[in-house]
Amino acid sequence: MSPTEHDLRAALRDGEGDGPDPFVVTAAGRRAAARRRSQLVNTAAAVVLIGGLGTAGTLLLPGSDNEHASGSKDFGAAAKAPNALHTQNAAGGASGGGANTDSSRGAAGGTPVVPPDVAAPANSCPATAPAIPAPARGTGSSGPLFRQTPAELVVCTYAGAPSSAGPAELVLTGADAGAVLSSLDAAAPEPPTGMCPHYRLAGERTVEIIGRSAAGTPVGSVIATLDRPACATVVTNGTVVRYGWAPPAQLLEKVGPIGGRSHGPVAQTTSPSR
Amino acid sequence: MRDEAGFRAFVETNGATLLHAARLLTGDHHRGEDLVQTALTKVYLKWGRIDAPLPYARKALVNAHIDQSRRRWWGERPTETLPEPADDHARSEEAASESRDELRRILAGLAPKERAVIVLRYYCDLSEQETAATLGLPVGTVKSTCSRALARLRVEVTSGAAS
Repeated sequence: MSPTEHDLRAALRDGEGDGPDPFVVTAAGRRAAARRRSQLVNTAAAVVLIGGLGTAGTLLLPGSDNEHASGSKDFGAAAKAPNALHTQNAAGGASGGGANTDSSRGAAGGTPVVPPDVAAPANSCPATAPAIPAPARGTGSSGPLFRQTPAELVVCTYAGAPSSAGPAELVLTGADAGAVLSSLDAAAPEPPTGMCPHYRLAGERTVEIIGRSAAGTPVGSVIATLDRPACATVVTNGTVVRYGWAPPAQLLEKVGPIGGRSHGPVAQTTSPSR
Repeated sequence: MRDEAGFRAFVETNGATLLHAARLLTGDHHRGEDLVQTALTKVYLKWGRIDAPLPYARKALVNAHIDQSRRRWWGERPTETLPEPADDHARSEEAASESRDELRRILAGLAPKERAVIVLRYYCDLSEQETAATLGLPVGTVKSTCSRALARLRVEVTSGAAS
């Protein structure tokens, strides 16, 4: 016997019964839709949570550094003499070990430099000179170097050659601080246009000037080089830049000469600026 | 918001056909009900976004059947006798027609894709093109699969009659 197409159709159709209950099917569909919605919500919540944790982690990392900085501030303040003007060896003294900022880590570890506007400045001298590159010529801002006018300045002087002695810390207040601030204000926001002997001395010093408010909180910091002609000296906080800074005599007197080192010019690193 | 009244009307109209097709595909009453439930749930989730619900439901039914037959725990083994019907209703139906049972027993021994082609072509009355579209196969493959399945049915029925 061979089944015909008619037999096959009849055999397949035989036994047809009622269909499924539409309400049961609809209820099952509703449950499936709710389950799918719940899965979507859970997935979205997980994505938001992970994103939030990532953002919080990113924000907390610099925050923890701020805590380190403020901790070192208290430590340094406790160790400081009450005199308005004094010098001390930061590496051996109160502030040397504690004030390890992002910028000092950047200099030591070769990691990218964090501008001082992003990471809160230290309240006392970091162990190593922070590496704050000046903006490219013509791209720097001409705004204020400090977030507010500092009541006192912490001047950290770093020898050009690596030194185990660490930075010399100098706290300036009153007229001394005013003279430094005036000299910074007098520096031009535009690069010099004339000829400038762009040499550097062997062992020329880097100076970081940290501004502090009357309450002792940092209001920004700038970095510059000493021992260069004024026209070749650049002061910057990473975003704002001033050219042709001439340090006041009071400051140079306090900081002292570049003693013990050769004053002869060394090989130029860049072509003379105009 | 889904048009649940429309969906219910669709189930009332086409549910019986789909359920019977699912039983034919699975060869089992309860697994057929599960299969049609799965397919109709997929239709419910897409309701309002599909232009042709019946072809979509057929496609969902066949795809779910083939997917389930690929899974190890749903693996089908052809047997000499039709699996025991699960309820009295099915059992009485089985007793009602020996020839029908014979054909359905042989149908259960076909490969899932062959069975799907036979059910779609001869139960759902789809053309070769519609069957190909439902299964996602070329028309030529549908033709050859159908031909092969029919040949197997003939051989099995003939050998069954001879024995």
